[in-house]
Amino acid sequence: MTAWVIRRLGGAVTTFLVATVVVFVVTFALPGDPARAVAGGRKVSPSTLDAIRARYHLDESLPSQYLHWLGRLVRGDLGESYASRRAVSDMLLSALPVTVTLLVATLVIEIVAALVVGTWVGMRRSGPTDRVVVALCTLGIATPIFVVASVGQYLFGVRWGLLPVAGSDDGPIAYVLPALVLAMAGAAFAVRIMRTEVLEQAHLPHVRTATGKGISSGQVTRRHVVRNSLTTIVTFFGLEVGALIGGSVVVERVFNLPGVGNVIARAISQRDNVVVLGFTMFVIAVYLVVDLLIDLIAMVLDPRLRAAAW
Amino acid sequence: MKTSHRSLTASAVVLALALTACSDDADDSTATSGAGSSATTAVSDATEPASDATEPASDATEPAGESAGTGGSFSVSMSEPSALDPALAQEVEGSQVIRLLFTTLTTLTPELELAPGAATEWSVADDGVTWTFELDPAATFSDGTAVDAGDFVYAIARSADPDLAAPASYQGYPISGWADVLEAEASGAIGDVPVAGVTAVDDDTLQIVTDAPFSLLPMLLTYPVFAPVPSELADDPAAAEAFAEQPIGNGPYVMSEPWQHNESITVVRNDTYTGTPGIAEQIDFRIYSDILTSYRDYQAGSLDIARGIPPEEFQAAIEEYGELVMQTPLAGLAYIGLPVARAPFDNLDFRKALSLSIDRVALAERVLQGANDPAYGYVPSQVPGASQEPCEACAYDLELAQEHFAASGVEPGTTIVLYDIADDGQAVIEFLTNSWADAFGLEIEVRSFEFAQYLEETAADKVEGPFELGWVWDYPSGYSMLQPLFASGSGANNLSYASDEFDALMTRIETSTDPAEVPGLLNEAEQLVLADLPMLPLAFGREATVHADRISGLQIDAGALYRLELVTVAD
Repeated sequence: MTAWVIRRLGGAVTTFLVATVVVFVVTFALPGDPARAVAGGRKVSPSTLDAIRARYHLDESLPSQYLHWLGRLVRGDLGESYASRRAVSDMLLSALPVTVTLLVATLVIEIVAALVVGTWVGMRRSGPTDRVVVALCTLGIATPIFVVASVGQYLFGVRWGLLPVAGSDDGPIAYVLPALVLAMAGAAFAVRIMRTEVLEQAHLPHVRTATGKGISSGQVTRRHVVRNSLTTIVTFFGLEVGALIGGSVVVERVFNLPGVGNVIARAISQRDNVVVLGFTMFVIAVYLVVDLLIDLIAMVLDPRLRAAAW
Repeated sequence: MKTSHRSLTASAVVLALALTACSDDADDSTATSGAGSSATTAVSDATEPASDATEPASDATEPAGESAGTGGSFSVSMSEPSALDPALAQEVEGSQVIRLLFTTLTTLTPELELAPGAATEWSVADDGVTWTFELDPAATFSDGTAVDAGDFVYAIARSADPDLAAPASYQGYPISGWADVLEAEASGAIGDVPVAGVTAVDDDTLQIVTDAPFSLLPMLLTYPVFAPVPSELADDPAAAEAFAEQPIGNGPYVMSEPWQHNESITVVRNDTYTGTPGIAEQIDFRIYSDILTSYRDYQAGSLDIARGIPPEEFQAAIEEYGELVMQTPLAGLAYIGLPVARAPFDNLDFRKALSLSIDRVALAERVLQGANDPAYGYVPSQVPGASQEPCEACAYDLELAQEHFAASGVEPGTTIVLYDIADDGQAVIEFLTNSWADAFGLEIEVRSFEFAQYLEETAADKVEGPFELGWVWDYPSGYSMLQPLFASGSGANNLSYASDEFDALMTRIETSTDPAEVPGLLNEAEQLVLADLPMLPLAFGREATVHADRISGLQIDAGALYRLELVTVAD
C-alpha cells in the first residue's frame, strides 16, 4: 500500500504542476497591461510603470514569469497583491481560518444529516416520512444557494433577529446560518445517497441473515447496513469538498465572512492576478490532498479496495 | 476626490461605483440606489406602518456611553480599501479613513470651500509661483512627534517617487521638480529624491514653487497624496511596513488597532489634535463585500450608517425609513466620448444628431442602475460656475436630431463602432444602439472588452467610435471636471479634442489672482466645449445612504466623502 500511496502522491504532484501552468496561463495571458492596472489605470510616468514592472517581474516573458513564480512558491512565497500590495501568503493565512471553520461546520452538518436522516429514511422505505424527506431533498438540491442565503439572511437576521446578519465578529454563532445554507444542497444529496445505499444494503442476504440470527435491529443497522454504505458516502464527501469551496464564494460574500472565497471573488473582479493564482493553486492543492485522504479512508473501510491497491 | 480612472468605468452603474470605490467590482460598491428602479422585488416591509421607521435606531448596537455631542461610537459600512497610506489612496473608500487620520495643508468644508488644515495660513508671492504655508507649531503626529515642514518635504518626495508608484502621482505635475522625480529611473529606495520645488524654510514654514502660476494649488493640496508623513519612516523599514497597516497621522482621529483586512478599521478621537476635534469618540468602519449585506445589517440594527442602498431596495427603504434616507448629488459624470478627429465624428451636425436622439430622462430613470440625474452639461449644476441651462444639443428632440443628421451628410446604413465594457452597463449600450439605429438607420458594431483592455482600446490614438466612461473630480472645482477631460494633451482626454480657446481659458484660470473671476471663466469654458460637443453627457450619480435615528449631523459632500467627524451620536 505504501507503493500505492507514493504512486498517488506522484500523480497528485504532477496534476498540481500541470494545474499551475494552466491557471498561470489563464490568469496572466489576459489582454491588458497589469502594470497599468496596478497604477490605477490613470496617467502614469514611464518610470513608474518600469518600477512596477520590475517589482512584479512583468518585464519578463511569460515562461520566465512562471518560473519565477514557481521558484518563489517552493519557498512559500506566493508573491504580492497588485491591488493591496500585501503578501499573498499573509492574505491566505488570515482568510484560511474563516473558510476552514465554515467548511468544517458545513461538513459536520452534512455528515450528521446523511448518517442520521439518510439511514433513518432508508430503513423506512416508501413511508410518508420517506416521501416528505425525498421531496425536501429535491427542493434543497434545486434551490440556488444565493437565494437560500439571501432569504435566510433576511428572515433569520433581519426579520426575526435570531442570528447575526453578517460578519464573523460574533464568534461561533456567526457561522451557524452560513454553514446551514452552504450545507443545504450537499446535505440533501448526501441524505439521498445514504438512503439509496441503505435501501440496497438492507436487502442483501448477509443483513437478512444477521436479522435472522436475532441481532438487534440497531446493531444490524450500525454494523452491517451503515458500515457498508460508508464507502460511497465517503467518496461523495471527497467530491463535496470541492463543491463546497465553490459554494463558499457565494456564502462568504453574502454573509460577509472574510474567507478564501471572498478574497478570490474580489481579486477576480479587480484582476489581481497574483492573488487569483495563489489562492486558486492553494484550493487545488487542498483538493488534491483531500482526494488522496478520501481514497485512503475508503481503503480502510473496504478491504476489497486495499487488495486492489497492491 | 477619488480619482482612479480605473474605477471610473463608464456606465453610470459603474459611475456610482466609481464614486465609492476604486475596485471595479460593481457589486462591492455600487453606492447609489434606484429612484427609477423597480421596487417590486423588495423584501422589506414597505407596507408596515410608518411608526416602524425608527425601529433600526431603537435596536441600534451598543449604547453610546456618553451624552450626545461629546462622544459615543458609531459604525459605518465600506468596502475594503486598497490602501490607508495617504500616498497610495486612490478611491473614496481609502480616502474616507485617510481624511480622518491625516490633515492636509489645506482642507475643505462640507460645502467644499477651502479652509485651513495643517497650514494655519498661506499666501502666494507676486511672482504667482512661490507659495508659503505657515504650519501650526503645536501640531503633532499621533505618536507625539511634531509635524514640521520637513515631514511635508519628505511626504511629497515619497509620493512623487516612482519606487512607490503612487496611483495618484499624476496629481503633482504643477509642482516644480515633481516631474523630474516621477519620471527619473527608480532608485530602489522610496522618498530618497527630494522634489526641488518643495522646501522647508524653517520647521514651521513650508514653501512650494510651481512651474507656472497655478491658482488652484491650495485646492489641489487637499488631496491625500500631499498629506504629511513622519520623515522617520525613511530610515526605519519596520516602521514603514507598520505604516501601511496602521498609519501614524496628524488628523482628528487615530487608528486604535491595525487594519483588520476585510473586517474592520477602528479609529478613535485624537485627543492631542490641535485643529477642530471630531465629535464622536470612536468610529468603526465595517468592511463589507456587498451593499445588500451591509443594508441588511443596518435593517437588523447592527450598523449605524449604510453607505449605499441596493437599487432594488431603494423604494422600500424610502417608505420604511423616510428621512433617515439621504440622497446626495455627486460630481460624477457618466458620458459618451466621441473620437472627434475621426470621420464621421469630426462632423458637428452628426455629433449633435447623436446627442439629440438620446432620451436622458429615460436613461437616468430606467436604464442606469442606481439613483442618477440626467446630465445636460459637464459640470454638476451645484458647482460654482456650472451652466444652469441645459445644453442645447442635450435635449431629447428627434425632429431636430433628424435635421442635424440630414445636414451632416452621413448616410443611413453607415456602420459605427460602439465600445462596451464586458459585464458592465450592457443596458446603456443597448439603449444607445436602439436610439441611434432607430433614429438614423445607423449600423452599430458593438465591441466588447474586459475593463483593463477597454482602457487601452479606447485610448486616444486607437479609439474608433463612441465609448462610455465616467469621471469624478479630484478636487472640488469645475476645473477638475473640465481640464483633465478636454485640455489638449491631458492624459484623460481620449477624445482627441483640442481647442486653443479652451486651453487659453484653462491657463487664465490657472494664472488667475482673483478667485471671484474663476466661476465665470469656468462657465465660459464649459459652454465652449458644449458647443463643440466632443462628449455627450449622460447622467450625474447620486449617493444613497441610510442611517440610524441616533445619528445626526452627517454630511456628505459632492465627492462622496462622508464627513464623519461631524457626526453626533445620541444616547
